Amino acid sequence: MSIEEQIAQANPVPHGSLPGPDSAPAREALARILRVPAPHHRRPDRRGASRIRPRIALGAAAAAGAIAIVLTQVLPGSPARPSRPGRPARTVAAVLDALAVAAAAQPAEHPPGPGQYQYTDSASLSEVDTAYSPKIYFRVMYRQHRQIWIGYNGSGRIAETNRDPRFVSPKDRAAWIAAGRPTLLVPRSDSRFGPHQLSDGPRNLLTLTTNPARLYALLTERRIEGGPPGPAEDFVQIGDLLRETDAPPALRATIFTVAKRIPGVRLLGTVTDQAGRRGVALAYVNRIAAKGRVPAQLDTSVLIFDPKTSKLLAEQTSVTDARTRKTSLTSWTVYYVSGVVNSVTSTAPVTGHGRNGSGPA
Amino acid sequence: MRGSGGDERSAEFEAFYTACYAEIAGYVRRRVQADEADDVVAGVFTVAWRRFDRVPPPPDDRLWLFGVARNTVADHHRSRHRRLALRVRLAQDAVTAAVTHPGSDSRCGPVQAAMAALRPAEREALQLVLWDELSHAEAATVLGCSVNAFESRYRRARNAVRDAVASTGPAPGHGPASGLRTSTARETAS
Repeated sequence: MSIEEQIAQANPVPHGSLPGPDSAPAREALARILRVPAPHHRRPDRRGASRIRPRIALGAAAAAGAIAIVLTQVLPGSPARPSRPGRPARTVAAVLDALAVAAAAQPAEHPPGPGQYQYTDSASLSEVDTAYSPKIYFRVMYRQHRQIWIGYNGSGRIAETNRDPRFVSPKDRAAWIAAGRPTLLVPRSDSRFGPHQLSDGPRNLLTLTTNPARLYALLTERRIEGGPPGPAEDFVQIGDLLRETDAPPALRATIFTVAKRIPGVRLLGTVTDQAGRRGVALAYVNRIAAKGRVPAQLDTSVLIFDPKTSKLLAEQTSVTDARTRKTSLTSWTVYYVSGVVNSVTSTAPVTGHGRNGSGPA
Repeated sequence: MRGSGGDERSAEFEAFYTACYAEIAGYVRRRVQADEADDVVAGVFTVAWRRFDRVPPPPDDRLWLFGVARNTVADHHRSRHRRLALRVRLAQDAVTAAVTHPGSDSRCGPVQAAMAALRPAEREALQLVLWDELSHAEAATVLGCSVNAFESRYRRARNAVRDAVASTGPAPGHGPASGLRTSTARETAS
């Protein structure tokens, strides 16, 4: 059983156990609500809209007799490799200032209009959990290539390929052999979605302030994304805001400026990402206290930027055992291309820089 | 106060209520104590009633309502936390920690413990998809982030739960499911 199935099974209130809208408590609540005075405004027309909502992510792996196969982003490979150790040290603030200047100098990228799509081409390591029989279970990692097109109206397409399978551990390989060496090939997937079926459309960041103090306040008060307090989450949300490319240059510059206010951000210097591209890396290390049988560890999140354009080239996470200091790379993703394209089959952005970085893709 | 326009508005709201009640009731009941859930659900729909003119048309209305539910549950937890504080019963955990339900499957203990240890935003990512059955895109909308950002968060959360559960050993009755992926052995994997 995959971990996602286990989590779903831990649902404390299964769907079948819920009272319906015709239950007595529901009808009594509705009667109380309708007694509340309400404004006289008219609501937008609700007619003719579809309620079709396909699930794009959670596979029905729980189907009887079906194999439990769950794609996740994960694991090995080598960590981003720092280079030029003898180079004069720069400060985090200086790097962020330089990235802000680079961001401000970029041409504006507008959200896609009708007939256009926000396109992102990325690669990552994916892990497939395979439950073969009640006693045989193995995990295989694949290099996943993913292309996603998100239309202005929430329509779009996702195409994925998985290749280069590698077992997570010798134990997983042994389990695969015990299972009779089933194929490790994963078919290419290519799904299309109608209006509002993929998303509500690309995120519009045009309304966010470019005042650093105000943006920092919005970020730390969690009025942009929500979430827990603290600098670790601040850093995560900085990455979230920079991952998409429709943020206007002034806003991207402000985001880098705001990042200077986050305590604990570290500069890793110039590194080479998994696609062989060089970029400047910033990191945040979050110390996780020991709990039960899990020892204390340091969770490190790394964001790698193109110093010339300020674009996010890649990100990765790693875990370090606080006692042994052994570090394991736990995930990475590289972003090859991002921008607005004119069709759901186009991979050539019509705005911005298109391909991220100058290295291989 | 309401004339014929009000009657039409009421009928329209009732249809909206009927369409969304089960999902919102489920969302709330998974996050607050059972004896308080009905009041919180009513609170969600009261907000919707008061702001009915601002509710977007379908299919966005449903996710808008999930957003209201999320805020209402958070307000409820903050209020409850303050009440507990007055009784000098300050909880050590975050106010949004998972609610323990008497009827929960005890075999899910390690999973629930692992989820309770997650940061709230990451726990919510898992719950929206695996408990409330929203798509990743829908959950991203509810959380106010992009699909890519959501997937990054979801992945971190899922992997953290998987690792935590693995460190505690297999739970009874949680062995892998039977199944077989089609053949042709490939031994090139290292």
